[in-house]
Amino acid sequence: MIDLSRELDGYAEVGAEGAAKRLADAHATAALRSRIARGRRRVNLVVAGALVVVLGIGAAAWAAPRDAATRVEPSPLSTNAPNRNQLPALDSLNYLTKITGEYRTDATLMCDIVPIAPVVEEGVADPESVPPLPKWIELDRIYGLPDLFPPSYPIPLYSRHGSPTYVRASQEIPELYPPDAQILVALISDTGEWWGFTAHFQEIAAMPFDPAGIFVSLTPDPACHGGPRDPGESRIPPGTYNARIMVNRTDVPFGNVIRDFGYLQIVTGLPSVPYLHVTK
Amino acid sequence: MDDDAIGRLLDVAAGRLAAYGYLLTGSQPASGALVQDAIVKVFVRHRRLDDTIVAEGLVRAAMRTIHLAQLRKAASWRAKPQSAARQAEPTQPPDLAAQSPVGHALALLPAQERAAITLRHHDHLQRQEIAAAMRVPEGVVDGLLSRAHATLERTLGEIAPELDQIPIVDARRRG
Repeated sequence: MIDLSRELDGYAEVGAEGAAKRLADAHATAALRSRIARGRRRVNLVVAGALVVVLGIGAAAWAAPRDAATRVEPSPLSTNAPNRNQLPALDSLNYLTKITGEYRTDATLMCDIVPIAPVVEEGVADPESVPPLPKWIELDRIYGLPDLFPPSYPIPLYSRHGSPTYVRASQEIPELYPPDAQILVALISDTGEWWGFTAHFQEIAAMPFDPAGIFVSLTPDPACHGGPRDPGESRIPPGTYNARIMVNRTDVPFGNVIRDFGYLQIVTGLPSVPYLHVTK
Repeated sequence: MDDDAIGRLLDVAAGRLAAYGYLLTGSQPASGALVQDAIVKVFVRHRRLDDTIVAEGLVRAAMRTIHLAQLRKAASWRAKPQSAARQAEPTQPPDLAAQSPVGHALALLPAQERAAITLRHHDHLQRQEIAAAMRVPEGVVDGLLSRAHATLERTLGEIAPELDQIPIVDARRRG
């Protein structure tokens, strides 16, 4: 009879041989300290940003309690958010991606199909269909801000006030990307590396920094990645990617679908929200 | 300063933490990354951590949480193509531990079963605690442990029960 606890201890000890030295070496600990410092800076900024908003809302309520329509615009903590002006504005024509191809199947779509050309029936993408992804995505909306907004921070798609296609999107998106469907967004680089993200679409009215409307949350799937130089579980770097969305649904026959999109841009940090944006 | 706390923690516990990570993940690079992610998580949240023993406990707990969260997130998309995904991983020369009988036996276990075995036989958690950590019903834990034990016993031989599974008998009342 074997003592499994003892066997596991021995196995782990042998397996980790040399790892302690690698973990404690100067380069690794410097990288650790830098990650910790960055995490703390973000937390500080988020807390400070939240405080500014709370104080701003309080001040506005005090100054104009009868004007319910007053929109509070707290002054940003940081005035040097470098990418903000380069980003297309929400609701502008340049904000959303375009669908370039559509494929349907009754086979279950899994992440290992991401890098290969679809072998399922090809269809013509409906050019009128409302796009479910923006043309630019901020890195911190994907990976979230430590502690306060895990695991991801919703990305605005259609604003309830201002977007000409909001009404159509609010009917079409829940229909095409229902909450109980499995939805995977894969971002594929020109060199063939790809990263998978679980997608969730929802209507949100209470985001502190974004107008009410339809949002998509992209949560990194650590097991869904690959390519010629397998990126492993590293974060997707800023840059230009092709997007592919895969939807598995059981409620509609032949309802599993792959949709391809044109290029989208991943940008550093969270420049659309200057209170939270930290330059890395 | 925390810099010293991190240095002290790694001086004292890097080996144990790496071993725990290796047990959970079965891979040296993944183990190193898991330890580092957990240290970052703990030290971002706790700005003063002078007690190394407390810090080690928090980092171990964070490693478990991060690893189980990754398994949960991966579950829906990984369920079917797991073997294909594993084959697609870049091949690395197997380390000594992986070549041992225990390494071979553990390699046969799906990730969830491996996690359950680690929590039971390394962390010595009860089934209720394992269920809470893995966020699954206790019945699922029973199933995971039972399947994992069967697989391990086929390779390693009969497994002795954990101490808390051995019935305690009052010696004075014995015939």
